[in-house]
Amino acid sequence: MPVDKKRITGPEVTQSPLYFLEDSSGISQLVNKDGTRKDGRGENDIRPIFMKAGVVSQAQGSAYIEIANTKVICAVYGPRQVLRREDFSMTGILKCEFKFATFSCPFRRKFQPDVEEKEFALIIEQALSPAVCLHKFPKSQVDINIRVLENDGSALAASIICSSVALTDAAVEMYDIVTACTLRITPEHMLMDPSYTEETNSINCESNGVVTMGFLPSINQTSSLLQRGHLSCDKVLKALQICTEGCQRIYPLIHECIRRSVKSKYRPAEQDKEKSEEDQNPSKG
Amino acid sequence: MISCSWYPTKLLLLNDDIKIRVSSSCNKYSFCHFSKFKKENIRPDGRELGEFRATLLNVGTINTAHGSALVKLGNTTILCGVKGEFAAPPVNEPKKGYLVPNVELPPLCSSQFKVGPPSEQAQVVSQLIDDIVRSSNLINLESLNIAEGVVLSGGESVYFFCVGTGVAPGFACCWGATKLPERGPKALSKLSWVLHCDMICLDYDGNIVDASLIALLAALKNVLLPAVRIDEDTGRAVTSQEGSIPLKLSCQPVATSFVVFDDTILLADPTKEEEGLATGAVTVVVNEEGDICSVHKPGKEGALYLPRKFMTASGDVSRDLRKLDSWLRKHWRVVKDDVPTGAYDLD
Repeated sequence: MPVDKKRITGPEVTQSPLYFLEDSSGISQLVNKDGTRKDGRGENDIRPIFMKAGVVSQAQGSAYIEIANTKVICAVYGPRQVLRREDFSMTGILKCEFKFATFSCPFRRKFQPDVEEKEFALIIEQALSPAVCLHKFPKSQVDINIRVLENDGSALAASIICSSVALTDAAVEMYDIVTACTLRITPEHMLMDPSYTEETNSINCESNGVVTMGFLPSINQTSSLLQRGHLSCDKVLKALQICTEGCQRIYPLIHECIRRSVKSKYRPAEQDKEKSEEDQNPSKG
Repeated sequence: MISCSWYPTKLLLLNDDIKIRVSSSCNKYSFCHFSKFKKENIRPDGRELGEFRATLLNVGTINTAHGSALVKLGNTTILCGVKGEFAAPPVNEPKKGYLVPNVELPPLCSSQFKVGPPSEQAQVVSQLIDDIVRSSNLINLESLNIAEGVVLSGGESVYFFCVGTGVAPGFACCWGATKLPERGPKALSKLSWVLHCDMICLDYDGNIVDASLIALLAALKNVLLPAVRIDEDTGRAVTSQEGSIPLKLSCQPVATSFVVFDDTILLADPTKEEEGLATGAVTVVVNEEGDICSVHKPGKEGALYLPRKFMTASGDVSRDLRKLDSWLRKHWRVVKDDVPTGAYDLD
């Protein structure tokens, strides 16, 4: 392996302690006997979501999302001049950089982007492009930079949501907001918004799979679809239906988040007033 | 005072925007704009010359890392995650482990950074942090050693290990002896911890060295490594899932950065704009006993002025140092004692 001269390097060969666990037997069943999942959720439950727009002061637009332990931050720069001549196009383009932080997964990630990260970057680009009015910024590009700070499943869906909120925060004109949802399919169950163990456990067996869908809720169109695993056609169609429902359920949250950020951005003075009134009122009472 | 507030789930970025008190027709980044403020001894964001920005610290937010901390210095945000891995100890120092700090300045944090290998600035900061860690003796690397190996007759420390080329799940441990000696202990494992300390800048608004070092220190304080034992029969390392062993840090180095403006004015904790306009910069790293661990002064500007300011004990300096002292105390208090998981407001 070539030595990385631009970073402080440790020893060449390192092993994760996870390979040396005392009891290395994985979880065999994802769903308990009473129908609940390992974290106590029902099959169709989405984990609690926290979103905030405008977290990076340097960026035109940015957003941060937490889906339980999954944490993703996204910053949007542009529209700005196309950097490489090959990328020139008369309509605008989206450029996505997707990276897992080195400590974000149970096993350490490398600094160099791997195949999965490049694939995810492409999927996010494709999921967002139909929603953005690309003709409004010809010959220029919008850079979307995404970091997964912690991956506890559904990282791709979280990234799509996060980047679409960041695009809105950057005031890039869009037809619709893109929401996304991940579904884990096992022979017996369909698990919405899977955690990391649910997403990765025995994924390569037959009739197991993961479906991630990007969805434009107000015009009711699918902008991207990623399906992994060996599944029957019927199951995939059913999964799509459930994913659509999931996306529709996330949409109001995104809406609320954007509403709040716009409010605080354009009317900070009024908010301060409200706050100071609130502060004064209890003292009077 | 340190007020400790708990944010059980919604926690990571406590974005308290600093209100910029600027209403000027002049370009915000221009020199003349700064000169106006210079007369009043105040900075564009309302701070005094020696004043630091509000600091927020959030410890133990990343569950996949062995230790983590997020630091916000005004707008500047650094997230440090520490992940421990196994490796063979260095050949020349078989009793030691590794600590590998790296600072990342991704294109996410500012428009000035591009996609690709680390920028020059990231390399400089990484190297500086590494130097500080080494020179301050932050951590005794011998405490990162797990199994040292056994000295056989002839005084030679012998170890054999076969390492699989691919690292795949279920890869069996082959650290240890392939051939057992006839007498003496059976296991000949040689194993050390490698602590990968990766600091990611999430928002670049100047003074990342200070923020990185606080993040690194707080994250290291937060580290819990799983217990490891070497199976005597197989020579194989066995670990538990949960971390239980904290690290012992031997000192608390805290960095303080200043920039020189107009060759006479010293600004503490510079923002990105101030860094861009300044003629010189200096970073002083001091440990809790007041000893200087490292001084970093890039560039030739202010080469005579700065050393005088920092290295001699004139009245002027002690005044500056006293200001610095209160800042350091504030940070030491947080990084000194055991830092439980949670969010802290340092002001």
